[in-house]
Amino acid sequence: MEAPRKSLLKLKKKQIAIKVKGYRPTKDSEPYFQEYKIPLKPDMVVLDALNYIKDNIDGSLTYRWSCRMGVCGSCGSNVNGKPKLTCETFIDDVGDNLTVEPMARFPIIKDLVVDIDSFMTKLKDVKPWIINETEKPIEKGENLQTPEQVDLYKQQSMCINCMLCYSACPVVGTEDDFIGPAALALSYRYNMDSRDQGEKERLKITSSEEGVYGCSWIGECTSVCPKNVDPAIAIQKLKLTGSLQTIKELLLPKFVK
Amino acid sequence: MDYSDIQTIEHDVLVVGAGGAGIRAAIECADKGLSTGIISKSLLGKAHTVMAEGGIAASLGNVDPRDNWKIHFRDTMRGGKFLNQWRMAELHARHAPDRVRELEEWGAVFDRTDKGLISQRNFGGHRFPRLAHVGDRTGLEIIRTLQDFCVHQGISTHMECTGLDLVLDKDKVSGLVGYWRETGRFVLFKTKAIILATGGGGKAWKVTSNSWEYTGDGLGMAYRAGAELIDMEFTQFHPTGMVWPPSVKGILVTEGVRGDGGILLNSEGERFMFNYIPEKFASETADTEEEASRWLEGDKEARRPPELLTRDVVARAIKKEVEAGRGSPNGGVFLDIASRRPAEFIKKKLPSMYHQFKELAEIDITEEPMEVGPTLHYFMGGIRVNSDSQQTNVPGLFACGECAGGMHGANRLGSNSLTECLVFGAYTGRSAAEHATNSKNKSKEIDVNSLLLSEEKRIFSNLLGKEKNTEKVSVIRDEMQLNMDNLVGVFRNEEDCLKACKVISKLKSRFKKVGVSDKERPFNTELVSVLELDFMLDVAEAIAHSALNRKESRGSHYRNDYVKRDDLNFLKHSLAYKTNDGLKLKYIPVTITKWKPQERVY
Amino acid sequence: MSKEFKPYVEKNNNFWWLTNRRYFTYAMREISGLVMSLYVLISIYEISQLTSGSSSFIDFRLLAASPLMFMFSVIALAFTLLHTITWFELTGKIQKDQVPKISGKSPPIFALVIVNMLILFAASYLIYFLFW
Repeated sequence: MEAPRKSLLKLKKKQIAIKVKGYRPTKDSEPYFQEYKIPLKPDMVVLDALNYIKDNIDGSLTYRWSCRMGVCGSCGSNVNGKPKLTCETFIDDVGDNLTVEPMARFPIIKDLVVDIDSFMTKLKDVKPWIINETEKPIEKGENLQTPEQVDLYKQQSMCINCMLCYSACPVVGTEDDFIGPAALALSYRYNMDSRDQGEKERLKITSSEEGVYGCSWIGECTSVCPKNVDPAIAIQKLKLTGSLQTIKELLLPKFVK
Repeated sequence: MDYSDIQTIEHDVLVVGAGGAGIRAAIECADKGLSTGIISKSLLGKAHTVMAEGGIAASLGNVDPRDNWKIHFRDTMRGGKFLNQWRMAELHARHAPDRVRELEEWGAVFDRTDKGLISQRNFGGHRFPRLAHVGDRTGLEIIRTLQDFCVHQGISTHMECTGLDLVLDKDKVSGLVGYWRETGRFVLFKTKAIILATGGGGKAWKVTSNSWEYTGDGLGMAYRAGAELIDMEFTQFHPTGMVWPPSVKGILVTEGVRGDGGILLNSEGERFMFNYIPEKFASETADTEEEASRWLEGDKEARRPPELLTRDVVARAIKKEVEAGRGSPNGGVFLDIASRRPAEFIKKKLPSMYHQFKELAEIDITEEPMEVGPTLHYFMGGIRVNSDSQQTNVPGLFACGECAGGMHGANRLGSNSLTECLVFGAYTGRSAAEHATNSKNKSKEIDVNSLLLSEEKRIFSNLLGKEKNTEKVSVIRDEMQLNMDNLVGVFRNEEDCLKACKVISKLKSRFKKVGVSDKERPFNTELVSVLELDFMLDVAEAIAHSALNRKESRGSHYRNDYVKRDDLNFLKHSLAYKTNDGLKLKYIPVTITKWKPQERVY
Repeated sequence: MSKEFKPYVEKNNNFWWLTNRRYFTYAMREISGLVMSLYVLISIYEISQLTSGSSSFIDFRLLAASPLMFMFSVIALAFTLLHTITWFELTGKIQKDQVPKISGKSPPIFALVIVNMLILFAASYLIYFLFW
């Protein structure tokens, strides 16, 4: 039994043509578009279309996916030019000329699969763990943290590492060393955690050309983020705290460890 | 082909699987100073653990100080219908609070009480509010924290590497052959101990909450290496999975919705769960809507609503309502929280659910009910391990997390599996580290060439080299999934289980003729799906045979032809193991430890 | 893990800023700085002409009255307005968490934007008042 979605079935068609960018490392010198015709069912998402193609038309179509519910962040692609999670993008919403490409600004390994090594390294570089002088023994119970204290960094802790923000950021496209939105938001998340004492250490890393000062607040990262992490605002706040920290160190070097 | 230049990576301990259990185990090994590596099928931080929503159970007693680990143990045993490995359930309940506090120390975000303690919520089967949680994305937070800490410890993670075969030296583990997805090349891991933490195999069913990774790889590898699979017939069907739209069918709707006040209604608007309260739980369950409402408001004298009964009871109730014609339009029932709680509360306590339904189904759960139905969710069974050391019967091979069996018995309580990841991840890490440290004798040099030649032949010559593909992997896989759904589902019987065994046997012979259309070695996901199907067929076979032979109903295994629990004949564990003549089954008695739960502890 | 096959790197698209509305607004915002700097340079030239004697200044006034200069002034005004509006929109976002809370809640961003604009007008008026 079928029930239509609340929004009208915009594309009143039974079939749809979808263009997918393909690239085969052993034989292609550059990517090319391949067109497939697939049956359109109500409430189909782009991932469904890719799975249909792989199971029925072209078994060699290659892409990443896992949870199919927008929480693992594996299926990032460019859908009609915009960075999206394919499992959350309804074909109804993106319209007729459906084009699926790998995430922009990442090297392409094969078809829609991109190389994310530099992203994983950048995540590591900002020291994303609790830094404190002494570890509290667990017999003493948990660290106390009020709901207000949690709210200070909760938003930035929602990141699912989907990398859509890197795909959207023009700075990432031109500066290879730019640490990037997700990693900087992650460092902000740890800075703002009341249990952490590593803010100064992280600010040293992020207050740099490759860090926050590479960002000129274009804001595209925030608009493509599926989890509302708002990395742009986190970066600007890091600029603020970073600058204040630098001024403090210049003016009062004795009192700043 | 010459394999002398095959990449070889040496570690003291190798963990297969980077979910909650795997990373926790690796952290423990690295803590003991051993060289530890993790191989993961998908990218780091994207394991199935991220989909866990409800929370992690531990008797911290922050919200209700009456709670303690003995009650948690009792609840687990009651839920598991006493088929649990008693010692494992004891260790689990006893050490859960420490592991949760440790995770908090490492930086995990939790929802807090006003005093700043970790907040705990109610859940099905738990006597007291026990679930530490953050919104309804606890699994994601756990794996983020573990991932960050793991990076901090400098543990080597080998991403997008599929484990293929265990390498044994005189029946002792000495390594693992892996397959790099990116290059399509083999890699040999030389190691003294291997920890399997690959999760379950829910992808053998069509309607499942599990993600792409869940193809029973570790179960298959262990089975082929001679380990035993315990209690495979106990597969949990979570009562509330989405049913519409088709692309999201099976995706979980957390039990937390019911814990926070959601109720189940049939097409007649009736709260049907009141008709399905089992006698055993009657004294703890409210029998009127009025009492259930009082419980929701915090009345400690009131008993819990029947929506919070154990998952097997609720799943069967829903299925019965649907079969009786009182289901929702798309074959489920209604889960309503909109008429019970204000919109602000729902958006604050269940933000992921709110977004999940808004984004995937365009339903606003603050205004209308959700359609839900049973979905394959968890494997209580798995690789048999020793309760204290977590070692299998193959020396050097350990298992933890969902792929290890026995802890949950016949039915798992919600949120116990996240705790299991941490508690047994730590235990297994410690044991494996001890084993690796004590392995003084270096195993003889593994004969790389002949080993890899046979793998090369098995995988590449037979699959990529074949010109004629007579069978397609997607066709065999879809058939297997449909059959498991229909024949080895919530309600089982002799005829169906027998048919399932026959179907799987036929599919296994058809599988020998499968071919792939992608002939490239680099990043060949089609080839990976063939390797996965290979494992899944073994797992499905073990499950179908185990289900056929357990002629009773217990926990999540329900037989229409044997509806009663039969302690006389079946208070024992089933073991599936490989022989030269194929799969064989045997039974072993349940080990009752000296420590027994008291009947009344409060 | 060695990479036998080098991943393919797309060539940079120099017109990325034309591909969507937000990118375009951003590019205009950045270019506004250039245009405003040009306007400042012309103003400096104006002052230098003013101090060089009445004939140089009269030449400048003629130049300033030309249609080309008029068009440039209009364009510069448009860019300055864009810069101002986008600037305050952004500072409002940051100020939200820096200003003291009113009964436990941060003020809404648009309120901060209006306050900032009012301060701008007040300051501009003060300068006008002092120097005119």
